[in-house]
Amino acid sequence: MTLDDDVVTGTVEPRADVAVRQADPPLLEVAGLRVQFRTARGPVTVLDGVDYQVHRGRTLAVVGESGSGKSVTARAIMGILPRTASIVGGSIRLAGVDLVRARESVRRAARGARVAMVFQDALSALNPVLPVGYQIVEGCRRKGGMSRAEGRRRAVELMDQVGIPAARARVGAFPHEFSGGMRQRVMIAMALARDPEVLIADEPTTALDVTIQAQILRLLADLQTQRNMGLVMITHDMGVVANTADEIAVMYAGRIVEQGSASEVFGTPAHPYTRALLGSIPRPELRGQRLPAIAGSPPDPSATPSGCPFRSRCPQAMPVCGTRPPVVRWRGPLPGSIGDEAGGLDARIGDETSSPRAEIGDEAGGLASDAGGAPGSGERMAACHLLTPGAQS
Amino acid sequence: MTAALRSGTPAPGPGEVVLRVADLVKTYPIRGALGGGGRGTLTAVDGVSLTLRRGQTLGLVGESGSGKSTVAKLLVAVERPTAGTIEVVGKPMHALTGSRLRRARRDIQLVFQDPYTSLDPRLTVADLVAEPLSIHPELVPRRRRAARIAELLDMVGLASGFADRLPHQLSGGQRQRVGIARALALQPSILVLDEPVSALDMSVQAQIVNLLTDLQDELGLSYVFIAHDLGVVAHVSDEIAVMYLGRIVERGTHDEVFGTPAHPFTMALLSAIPEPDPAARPHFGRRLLAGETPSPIALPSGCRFRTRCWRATEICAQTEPGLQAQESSPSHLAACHHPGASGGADERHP
Repeated sequence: MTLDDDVVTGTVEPRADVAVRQADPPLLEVAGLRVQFRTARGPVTVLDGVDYQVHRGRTLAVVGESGSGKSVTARAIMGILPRTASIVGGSIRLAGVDLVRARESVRRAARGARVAMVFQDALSALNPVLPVGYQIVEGCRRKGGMSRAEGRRRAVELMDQVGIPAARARVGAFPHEFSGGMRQRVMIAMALARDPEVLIADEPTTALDVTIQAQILRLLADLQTQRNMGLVMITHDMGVVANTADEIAVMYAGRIVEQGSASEVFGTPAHPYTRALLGSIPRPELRGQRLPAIAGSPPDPSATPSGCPFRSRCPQAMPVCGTRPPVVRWRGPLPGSIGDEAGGLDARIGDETSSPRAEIGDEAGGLASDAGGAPGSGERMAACHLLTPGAQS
Repeated sequence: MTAALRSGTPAPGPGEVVLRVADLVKTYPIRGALGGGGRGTLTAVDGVSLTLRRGQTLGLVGESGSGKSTVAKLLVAVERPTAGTIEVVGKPMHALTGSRLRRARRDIQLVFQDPYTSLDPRLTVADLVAEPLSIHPELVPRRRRAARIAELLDMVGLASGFADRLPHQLSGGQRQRVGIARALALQPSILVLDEPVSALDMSVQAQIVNLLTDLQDELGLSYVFIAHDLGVVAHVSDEIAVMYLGRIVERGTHDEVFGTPAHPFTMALLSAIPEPDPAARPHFGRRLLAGETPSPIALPSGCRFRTRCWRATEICAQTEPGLQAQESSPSHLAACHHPGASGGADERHP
């Protein structure tokens, strides 16, 4: 497309990448999180050992399909899992408190102002019979003993910050009087009311038109920079991921299958699922050709295959994939037999006929198997047998 | 299988126009609260003209409220036009009623966006695919139906074991295959695909896109492909029409519209699509549009895009621009007083 770059309309310059701060302790740390749902046919494990960290001023995109567990993880953090769900393992550390084990009062205090969530569907998340201004500051007024007048002032201020025009006049309006994009801004204002350190946005733009989506994504990025928040962007849209994320966690069937910096995961995807998914997105070069599609559908959480959950759809599945894949952490080039193929990666993505490669990479350096904790900056993680030397022997 | 499908209606010749829409208008009366009292009209589709050739795909893009789904309903005669003409394989759909309309409808079938809500949950896959055949019993004799259903399921890549399943036992992709099989049952020349992959898991979308392109090649189908996802539209479309508030604001070949967009709305739409490539991030939202689509019952004077357009001048408030051929190509049309590439480096949003 020949868009002349000098023409800028109502935009700010793209945010410069915040320098990686390794020393910063994470604001939020999820480790080994396991969640089960009680069903008529017995317990179903929907999260099977999820690890991630959220750092100040950074955006973590959690990407996955329906049923992958990306929203369940967020709900576990917020303490709003449905009654049929229970956390059966792992920890969620926020401000030094393990939200899984602490008493309810301690949990509430720890969550309090530190973490807030923006939901996908603002129309059903907002109360239709209360003015938006009231809803935006409801939390502050309850916790902070804020007066009605103060509350109103604060609501107007927050509505201004999220770009709702004529905030003073609209603070008393009801949700149905706002457009979809404006309702999403109201949701964001509500989430910001107590100045959270971590903001979790669950598919915040999925229901919106693309021009409005672009506005909301820009708003979230600007607010994050201004407030130096940690942002968790939950999405199924690889385009949204590429344009917002510092780090990416790719989820599949209740597990994180790959994690790393956005540029590295997009540049050299390691897990066959990530590679196939990126390969199946229409690109100009693929016009007129069949897309390299992934066979099958994501597994039903109640019937996830044993071992690697992707193996039934994986073009490179091997007998060993029937056992749980190792969590491999590394820096630099891709390890294992995936690394050997990296050169011809594009040609092989999603190619259903390609057979598992016979060679085993004997990668030097940087390969450490299954250490605890989520990867820090620069480190990458993926859970796949192809990343271990000798897996195929 | 291909021969059987084509045997019903004589297939139009290659490259022939199978769909010709001219000056299509659809208005709806606006009712007051609780349905009482008329309060004017809403013009959902306002003078849309399109042509589609055999074996080709027309991509129809626009945002919610642009009228693209109303166009889809008009094309398949679920809604009837207020004005304008729709010719489907030479037949004037807009003027037909009764049994003639019923017969003409066989040529143009709709595939719905959401395969979760568009299939009757109590019917088996075989029943669902049989339904159009019992509505149009003249097409396939009763004794041939079972074979025809098996053939249709095979065409959309569903094994025969699926025939007895219920929709809730199917994945989203499988359901959409059933939706496509239903649409194909009547041997149409044209499929109107209303966001056919938007509701599907991302790892499944490419399968359905491939199925649609394969079926098009095999059966010589023509598609009207409606979507807000320009990536998929760009992949499948030969021609593109961009709608804004009931009007087509730009129309042209794939390369014209994506390569040298002429209308500012098209440019903004293209720049708002997040590309799945972090290297493209600096270009994202470069033309971030201010504001939102105005209400269709309170349209601005003149050009309906001017309230969000950075090129708007006095004339844009006075005269509504018509679709004009661009200098570069007679097939590339745009409805804009200031079309084409940059008007200068100092161009800014008002």
